[in-house]
Amino acid sequence: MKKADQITGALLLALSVYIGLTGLSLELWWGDEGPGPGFLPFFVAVCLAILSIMLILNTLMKEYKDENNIFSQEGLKLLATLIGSSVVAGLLVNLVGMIVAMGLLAGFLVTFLAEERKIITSIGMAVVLPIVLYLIFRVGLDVPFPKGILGL
Amino acid sequence: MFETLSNLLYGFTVAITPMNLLYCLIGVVSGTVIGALPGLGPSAGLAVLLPITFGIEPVSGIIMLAGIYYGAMYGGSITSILINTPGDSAAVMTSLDGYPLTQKGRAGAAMGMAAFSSFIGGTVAVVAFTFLAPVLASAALSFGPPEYFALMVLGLTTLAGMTGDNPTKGFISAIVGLFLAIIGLDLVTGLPRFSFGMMELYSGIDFIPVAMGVFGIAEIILASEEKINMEGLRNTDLRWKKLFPTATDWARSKWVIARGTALGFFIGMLPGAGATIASFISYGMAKKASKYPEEFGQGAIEGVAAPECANNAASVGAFVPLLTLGVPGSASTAILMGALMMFGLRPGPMLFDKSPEFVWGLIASMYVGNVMLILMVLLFVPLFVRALLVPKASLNAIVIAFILVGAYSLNNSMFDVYLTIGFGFIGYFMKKLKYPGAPLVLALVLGQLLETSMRQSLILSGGSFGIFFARPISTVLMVIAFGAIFLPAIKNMISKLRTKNASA
Repeated sequence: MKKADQITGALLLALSVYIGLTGLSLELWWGDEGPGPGFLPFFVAVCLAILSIMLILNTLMKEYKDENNIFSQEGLKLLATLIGSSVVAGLLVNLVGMIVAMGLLAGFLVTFLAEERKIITSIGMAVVLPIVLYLIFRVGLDVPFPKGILGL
Repeated sequence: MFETLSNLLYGFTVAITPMNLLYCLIGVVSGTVIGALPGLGPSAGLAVLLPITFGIEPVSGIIMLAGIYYGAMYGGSITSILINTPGDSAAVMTSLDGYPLTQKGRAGAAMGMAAFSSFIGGTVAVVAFTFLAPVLASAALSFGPPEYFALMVLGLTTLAGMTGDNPTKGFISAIVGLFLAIIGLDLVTGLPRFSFGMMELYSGIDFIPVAMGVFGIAEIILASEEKINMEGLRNTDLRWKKLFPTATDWARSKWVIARGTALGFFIGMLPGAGATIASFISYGMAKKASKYPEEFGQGAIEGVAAPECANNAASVGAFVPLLTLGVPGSASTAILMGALMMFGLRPGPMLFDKSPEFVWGLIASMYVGNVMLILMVLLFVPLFVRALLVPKASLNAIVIAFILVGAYSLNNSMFDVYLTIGFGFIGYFMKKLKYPGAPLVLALVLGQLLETSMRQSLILSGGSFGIFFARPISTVLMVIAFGAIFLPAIKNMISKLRTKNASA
């Protein structure tokens, strides 16, 4: 946790510098008319800078008890799988359409994450879930789904 | 008084239409199921299901969302009692005595007591709300931009200072949320800020993709990481007869419920506190006042009643600042506020005047929803428990696909989908590194209003910040808000001094 806090503290400090500089370039104050568009960004930058310095100083003064790794290998793998497959499914939407992309995503997740793989569950999920989503969003709520090369 | 009753009656004519009853039912059932899933609480339920309410009438939409909210509040207790795994933080105290009761073979009584005390807490709180809200709203009509600015600052600082173990991280979360709110065209000048030349960012970052990412995707990934043994669910005896607490159970719990309800409602109204803290205090009070404090933690029935009535009363109490002042005090009410603004309604004192059918329809639906919730629980508890036995992999697939399509449906754009996934990724690290998500979402929802009211106030005063301390109400609010910033630091110092003195 200590190292993680130091790294995030440094990143947040860098972010605050960027926000602050951009705020300054946007005009902070307008004569009699009060704050300009740059005022709140600049204020946010100052607060964020103070807070991230506090965070970093804290890591130097405080003792950390739980030095066990907070990120487990398994957890990061799960994160990569779920986020990665979601992004891929998003990219596939333009190619094969929303319905097929969601079917593929559901089928993949069920197959990949299941403790005991059953082909029937995977196929069932890949077919049934897109139909349910179609009924709720396309039919029920009239959301136009992007169509793909398959015309679905 | 008479006017309130006639308004309430009018509200019932709105709430009891077949369509609105149906939406209330859908909300309560889906909320209960989502709330029962480990890791997913009311804010996740609201964020995930929010997109489906946008296609329907605002009144029906908010009735459904309110149903999801208290359904999820109850749902959290199911896994607390049966498998010792709270669905969300407000249900943590319920597991202390709920699970021991299950081990003793009294799971049914615990589930029943949770349902009845939730019902009593929720209903009594709605009655209090009915009479208190109009009074507060009319008092708030005199508020100008400085008061609103001070209220929003207060809401943000208390929430940031009170959620999570490390206040610094709470405040960082709020400030980053404020930064996200700045992105997009400046309302006064029309200048783009931090939009990196992307057209999609000109209209700003919507709070829904952020909430769906942080509360939906991130939570489901974290919940999947944990190995939870659901086997205990299979052979629990939840026959209808077993769900009714005995006369002794009632005798032991009745005063606990009365106190917990009053306390919960009051705490729920305070910004930043909310259902979790209400359940903690209520449990503590029940234990202190009990004749058998040694039984707490070993399966005392009032240990289930105390937190459950308090958290439901608090969730109703949280509607008071949201509807009368337009300032939410928790993650869930922040999402509700965002939803109201999407419906084109601006929560606040004017709402009672401008859209009475909406306000009173919602209040009446809370009465209906509470009755519906207890009926559903008593009749279908075994079914809700079944829902938990769905394999985790399938559950992940369902929730993720639902979130992605929901994100797309907001503006029919893939940009929101990627934004949601991105915030899911960020949310995972926030959770792991102990940054609370609630201040981030609240700041994002309030950001624009906060900036507008600040600029309006400063135009009024000719640029002097003294205006926030020149009026009595805004002065008091600002002082409390600053207090919330420095309180953690002061508390820290005092405890350090104490340990020093003790060791010296």
